[in-house]
Amino acid sequence: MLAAPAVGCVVAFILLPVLAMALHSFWLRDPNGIVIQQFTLTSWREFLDDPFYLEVLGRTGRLAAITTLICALVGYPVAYTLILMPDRFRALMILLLFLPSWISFVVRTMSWLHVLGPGGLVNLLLRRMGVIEEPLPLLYNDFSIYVGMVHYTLTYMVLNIYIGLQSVDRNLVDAARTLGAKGWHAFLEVTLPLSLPGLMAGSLLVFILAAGTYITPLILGGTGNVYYSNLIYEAVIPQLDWPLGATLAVVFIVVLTAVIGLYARLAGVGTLFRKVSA
Amino acid sequence: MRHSRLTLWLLGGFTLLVYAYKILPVFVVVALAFNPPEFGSFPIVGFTTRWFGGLLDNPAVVTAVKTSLRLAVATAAIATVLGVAAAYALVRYPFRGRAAVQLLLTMPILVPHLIVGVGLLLAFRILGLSRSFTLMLLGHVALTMPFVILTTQHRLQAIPLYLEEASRTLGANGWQTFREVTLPLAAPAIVTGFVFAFMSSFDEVTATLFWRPANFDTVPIYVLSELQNSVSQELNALAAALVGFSVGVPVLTMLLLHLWTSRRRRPARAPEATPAWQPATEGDAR
Repeated sequence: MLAAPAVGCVVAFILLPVLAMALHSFWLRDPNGIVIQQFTLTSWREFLDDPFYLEVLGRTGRLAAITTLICALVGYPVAYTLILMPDRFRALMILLLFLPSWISFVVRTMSWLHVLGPGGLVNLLLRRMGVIEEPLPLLYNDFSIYVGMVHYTLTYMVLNIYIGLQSVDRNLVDAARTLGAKGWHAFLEVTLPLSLPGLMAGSLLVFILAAGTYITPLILGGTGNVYYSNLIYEAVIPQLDWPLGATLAVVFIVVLTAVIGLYARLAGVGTLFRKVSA
Repeated sequence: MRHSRLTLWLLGGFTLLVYAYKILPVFVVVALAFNPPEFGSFPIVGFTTRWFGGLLDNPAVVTAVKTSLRLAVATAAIATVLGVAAAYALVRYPFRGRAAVQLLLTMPILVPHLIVGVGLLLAFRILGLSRSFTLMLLGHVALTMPFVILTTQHRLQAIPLYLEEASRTLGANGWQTFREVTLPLAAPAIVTGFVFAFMSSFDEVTATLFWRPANFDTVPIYVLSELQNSVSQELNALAAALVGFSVGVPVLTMLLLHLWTSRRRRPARAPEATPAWQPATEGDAR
């Protein structure tokens, strides 16, 4: 009974809205922009007929995948270093890791304008050192989007890998070494496979976060950097084309569910949820 | 796990670089906010606090701050009450379908805010309701509650059942036991959950943009819309103030919680470590 209000909240505010989106995607938007509750396939036809939408969806998938890959490559050594640290120092380092994620997301993203912009910190330093004459184009392109995306998602990756590494029994690594495995070999054969569930959970979380934010491209992207989540926002808020926005959102949910399903089959759904919620 | 000195140096150096990447950009905004020239960028030529004073004279900023605070406090209050109740039920009552309820309550963490934003807006439209403060509030409660549930649940699991049983045996009813025994012991986690909900509501922008009535700004939305123009010094000052606020509130909470729990450590800690009737081994000179 005590859980009922909370369950009600989730059902009413998370699950039913998905239904609302599905319904809207089949409704008609009249020439005046008013939504009429009448069955039509107009929005779905527009989505399927115009290759633009699928192209952007593919581009977004690539963005999320590359962001995930960078996070994994950068995050793993960091998480591994955290494991090696003495306890007291490690607590401080984990606190510092979390510190930026408390800070307003918009401010964190906007700070890159001052770092990467033509008059920003990086160009200023490079020019003072005489490395470059003209400012490098670091802002409003793919580069700044990746910098911002990784900046936003990296913490979740490090944390999940760290939790995964924590559950690795160090005795097993020592045993492998005693049995003759060299440093790298022991790592590749014992530590890495055992920490894989954490890496998988972190990857899933980063992929979903990267695919779902339109704020980072909005602030750090140029005119050419349109991603799927931006299309949804554009359709729903400035254009007020709710049926189209709903169609795009339903496709997004289906794709993400497929990704999660694929992951769950690979990693086991139990581990995944335990890790993500840990 | 033994490593060569070179490996350790490489790992340590790499980690420092990554930390610099994570933390330093924010300090750039803070540093620029104290720069006297009106144009909000480099080079830094002096020190002034006048841009911060200007914020208080800007009615748009003041209104946005008030809106955000109202929204965040209301969200945190509702999410905490509902979340603690749900966490208590999940930990203490082995009801049928508990695993499913747990999954359902944790799931929102995996749903992108974008989806929640669009979905809740369209659900409201079907009911004939339009964008409003209420819509923002309900949405924020749904988004923040899972975190309150998880932190509280974690803590409740660490409180031994016999304390509640003892209270019941001594004649307290269920509510008295919860109020007098469980609640004080779980309080630090509940406060943490409250502050977390408050901060995430204050910071939320992805879903909120779908829910806010036209021209109704929260602080992050105000910053975002101002960013469409060039970055002014006033915006840098607001950003710096936000950095101070979002670091200050959690740090202050942690300090206060630390003081509070260490002041009443004896009654609070004993049940955590060893049952009260067993001789304490701590401080035992061996």
